[in-house]
Amino acid sequence: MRPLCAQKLARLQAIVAERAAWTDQLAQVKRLHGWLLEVEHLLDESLVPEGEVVSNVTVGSRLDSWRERMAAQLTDGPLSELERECLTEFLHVLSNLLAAPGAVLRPGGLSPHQQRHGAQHSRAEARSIAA
Amino acid sequence: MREVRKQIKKQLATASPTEAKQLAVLDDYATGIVTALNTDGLQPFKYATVEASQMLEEIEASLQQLSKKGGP
Repeated sequence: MRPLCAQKLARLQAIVAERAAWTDQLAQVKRLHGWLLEVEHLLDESLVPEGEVVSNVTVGSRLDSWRERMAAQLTDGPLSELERECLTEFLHVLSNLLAAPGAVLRPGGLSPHQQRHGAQHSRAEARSIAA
Repeated sequence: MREVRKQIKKQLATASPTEAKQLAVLDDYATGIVTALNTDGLQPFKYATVEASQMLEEIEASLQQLSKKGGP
């Protein structure tokens, strides 16, 4: 490789390597994202293996187990202040969700951005309906 | 990053054919890095940070490969 190109290559590598400074924050975001995906997998009917029949009761109980496990992490787990705060809020949102009958299992074919029947509309959706 | 891209473009104009080829490859990488850094998320499940970091990991691995081989 020509010296000029080698120099530019080294510069690009240095720029990409700068993200090492965000390693901790990134790991934190990935953990928070992971929790969200875990719950999404529990709630999304389209992710259920073919042939398995899942009722709201089953999903509710799986969600309860997940919530219990995560609530235990809140007290015993090595979570950062931000993770603790986000998880507390997440568990709070989930307990509100479970309080709404029929709002647990998302029917297959409904995208994660669509609301379940009877569920509260998001602000953006409410705006588009009003318009 | 924009500065590096500017420099590459500038040097492309005066580079020898071999150098120009190599610079063009590096420019593609630079474009990839800019794209990764500008990645948008789609809430609630697609996080821009997570997507960008995956893209940058791949780019870094590829750059390392390029550096080992000494050329594309």
